[in-house]
Amino acid sequence: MKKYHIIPTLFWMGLSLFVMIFSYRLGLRGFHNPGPGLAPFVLGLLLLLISLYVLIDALLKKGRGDETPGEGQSRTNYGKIGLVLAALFAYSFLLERLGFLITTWIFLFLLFRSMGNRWVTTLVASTSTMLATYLVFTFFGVRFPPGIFGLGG
Amino acid sequence: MDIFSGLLSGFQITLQPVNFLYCFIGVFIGTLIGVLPGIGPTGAMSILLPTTFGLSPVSSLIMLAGIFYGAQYGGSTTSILVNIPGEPSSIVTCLDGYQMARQGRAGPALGIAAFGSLIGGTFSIIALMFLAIPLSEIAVAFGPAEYFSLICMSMVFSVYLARGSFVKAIIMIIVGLILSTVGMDLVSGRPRFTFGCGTLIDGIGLVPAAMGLFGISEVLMNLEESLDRVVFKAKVKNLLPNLEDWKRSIGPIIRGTLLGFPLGILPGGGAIIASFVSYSIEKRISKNPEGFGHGAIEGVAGPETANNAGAGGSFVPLLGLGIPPNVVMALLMGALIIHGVAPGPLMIKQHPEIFWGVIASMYVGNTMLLLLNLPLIGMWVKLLKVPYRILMPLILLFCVIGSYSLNNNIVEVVIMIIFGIAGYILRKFEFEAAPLMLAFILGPIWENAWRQSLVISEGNFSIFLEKPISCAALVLAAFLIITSGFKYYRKTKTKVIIE
Amino acid sequence: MKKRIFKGFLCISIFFAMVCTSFNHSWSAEKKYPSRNIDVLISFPPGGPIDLQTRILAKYLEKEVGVQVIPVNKPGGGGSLGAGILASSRPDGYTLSLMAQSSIIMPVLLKEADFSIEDFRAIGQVVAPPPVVFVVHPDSPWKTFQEFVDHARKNPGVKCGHPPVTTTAFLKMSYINKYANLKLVGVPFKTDPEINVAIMGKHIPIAMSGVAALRGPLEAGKLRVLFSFNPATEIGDLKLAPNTPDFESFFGKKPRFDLATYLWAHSKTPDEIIEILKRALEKVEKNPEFDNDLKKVGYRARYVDGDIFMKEELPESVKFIKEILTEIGLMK
Repeated sequence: MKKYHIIPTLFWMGLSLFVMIFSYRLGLRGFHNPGPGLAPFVLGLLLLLISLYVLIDALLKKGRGDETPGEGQSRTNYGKIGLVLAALFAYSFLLERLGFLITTWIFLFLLFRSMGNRWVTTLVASTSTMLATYLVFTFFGVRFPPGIFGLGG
Repeated sequence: MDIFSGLLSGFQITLQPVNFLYCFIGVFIGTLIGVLPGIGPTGAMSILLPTTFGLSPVSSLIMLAGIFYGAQYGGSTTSILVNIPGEPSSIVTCLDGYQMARQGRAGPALGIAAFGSLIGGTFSIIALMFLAIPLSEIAVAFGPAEYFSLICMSMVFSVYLARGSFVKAIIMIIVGLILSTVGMDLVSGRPRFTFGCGTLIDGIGLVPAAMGLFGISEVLMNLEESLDRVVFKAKVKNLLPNLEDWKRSIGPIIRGTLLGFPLGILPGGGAIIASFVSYSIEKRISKNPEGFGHGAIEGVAGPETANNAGAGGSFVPLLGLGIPPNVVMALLMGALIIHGVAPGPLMIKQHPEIFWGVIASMYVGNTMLLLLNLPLIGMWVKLLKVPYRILMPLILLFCVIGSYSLNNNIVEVVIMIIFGIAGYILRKFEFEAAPLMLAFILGPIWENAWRQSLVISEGNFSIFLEKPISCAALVLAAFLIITSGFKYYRKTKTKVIIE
Repeated sequence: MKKRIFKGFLCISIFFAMVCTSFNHSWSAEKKYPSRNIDVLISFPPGGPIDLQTRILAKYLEKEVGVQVIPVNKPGGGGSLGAGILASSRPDGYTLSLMAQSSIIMPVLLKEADFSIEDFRAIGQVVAPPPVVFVVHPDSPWKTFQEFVDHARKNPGVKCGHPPVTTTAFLKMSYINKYANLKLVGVPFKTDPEINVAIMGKHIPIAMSGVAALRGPLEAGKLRVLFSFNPATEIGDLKLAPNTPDFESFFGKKPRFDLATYLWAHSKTPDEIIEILKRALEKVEKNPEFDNDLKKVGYRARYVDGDIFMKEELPESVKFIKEILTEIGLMK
């Protein structure tokens, strides 16, 4: 409960310091002629002050544990989330190398399968979606990378 | 030419087969654009602009305008169905619209959004007819100082968007403002917080950020639970809003229209400001504000009406003054100029057929949109019945293509993913994305207004209080903060007592 | 049984993929230029002046080159994003861009660009230097430019609105500020319409603005032009205030400085392709309809050979812009 408040607060404080330092470097120049760094600096300062307030407030509220996260302790499926994120990043890296059609097909195939669909469903869904999106978006003039195999450029 | 004969001649023009066709094409494409991620109305309009060279000015304008307000209709569809805002002015619709969809009430949500949009849109056209010129005078009364104060006030309003803690919402707003400073500073030419990344030179893209923060994070949240948890309630109750829904929505719709139109006139974020001010007001005056954020239909009716009324309002500066209040209007203005017509007060005198033709086409277009969208509700609802294990990869692909297709830039997709992760983490710690997003959108305007005001006043902050409109807005904002502060303080006090 | 179905689907998928590729791809061997569509990058959002110029150009250029000329908006970085894209594109003549020199020069001087001036080659000037004017509210106490100049010199710090630092209008304002010793304080705005609103609402006393966005309010009498940077002949048929003097008649001999719009290609584009484009461009410029269309948006057509420009004018422009930037403190 305390951790729940303190972790994000520390993060905000870190962020605000980061922002303040970099915006100071950009140049503040003063209020009559605001420089590029002035606005972010002021915002960073505000963020720092508010986080300090929250931090102190949370530290003082020892043992008052009335603010629980509220989520039930169900088994959170972090594995699935990790897989999806990995798939997303992989797609980003591979799209321009392998081309739209191949990358999309693999992406869809992996995701459909990991969601527990049967093989047949996965194949049909992956193929049809890949084609449908390709045709629809190309119709609107969107251009996709052909990749090294030159497919779907 | 008085109004009625003008309108009559306008209808005659619009109902000619050619123009009628172009109106339909425009609204149809607009709806598609609003639904599909990534491509926005500006993109579609600029792609289609060359095709209008061969047409008469009226036909071109009718079609392009149709795309614009058509997109407002389509944008709310994805907000409600998958929590992905198709348009910035539909961000607020995600809050309650999506919740309604999860409760099996996607039909009524879509329906009330469509009807509200029609009412808001139609009313704003009527107002446009009568008030275009006088209202444009109001538009120019807003200078840098007024904008700054107005946006401050709007941000205070947006704290009401949060379902939870006051302080957390404020933090989200500040972070949103900070994020909006990323990119090249137009005043000095220096890049800020880009760290050498070329894609960031124009700031963090709105589309990747919104899709990530709302869409991807939602998907990640849904993945947490085991797969048999149903995301969308299978039993869809009705397809259309029932009597109870209408009763609750009438107020928000009326208020949304009255609010939306004037706010839409203001250059900058007019329609967006309209949507979330409407939400905040509805939440404030509602008899059970806790229902907001969990599927309150007022939270859909008000904002959707307001944003369409605002879209109509944004025509006011263009037609009344020749000043485009946003990028879309700038494009329309460009189209008119290419056809040899300079929009402005003289246009009504010199080319009445254009003015009235467009106005009449907006009536026709809005009606077409309603007729287009209502039957589609059935289709959309069926879509939600598809099991989530099939829906999820589609939603993800949708988002990815949407982000990529903006600029054929894969970095934008990565930005989207990062925002998705951020959004997910924020939600776990009970921070809300909506205030952040809105601050992010308004940030640039806010900062520019602030800097301009200070240059004009030579560093003197009293300029914000000296100018009447600005002062009024700030006073209102302060008032809101104080009264909410009281409520919050009293609540914590009572909590302590109860314990 | 399941395995067979799997294999079957795999084959069908591959088959479909190959069918799709045959639609769009040009695996063609060396064909004559141009053999497919040409993209013209626009470094600004749609509806703006450069955007309009490009679209009009595209319309006429298509007829000369025989393929579709497609304007593509790549706004960002005050114009430097589009330049960057051109610099890193393939030098095959299928990617071009219509830009003012400032879009290239300024990012390089400010050291914010990942390209250098040598990456570009100008094909030719397309549009005469865009008119940029000083505008005031009709009620403004300054009836002539001279009155304004006198006032500004006596009261340093008059606020003058201007578009972003990377635009030609801003450079011109700095230019006048320096050479006429006006001691103005610049109030930055993002777009021309915003500037016009600020003037009309009397939030600032005077501003420098591009002409394209002015037409509506100007014709309705909501704004007044106090001074035009360019000689009257270069401003199309826009009805400006009748006696706006031009700079030379006011300040005598001035250093040569003007920022026109040119059509650019990658510097490594083969000469033959550049020649083809030059000839096509010349034909377009000579077409009176092209000039007429440009007039509607407040510009005039003008052709100057790109190579001449690059040899003679470009170095001057770089020098001048460097001066201005150093003076206003953006460059050390």
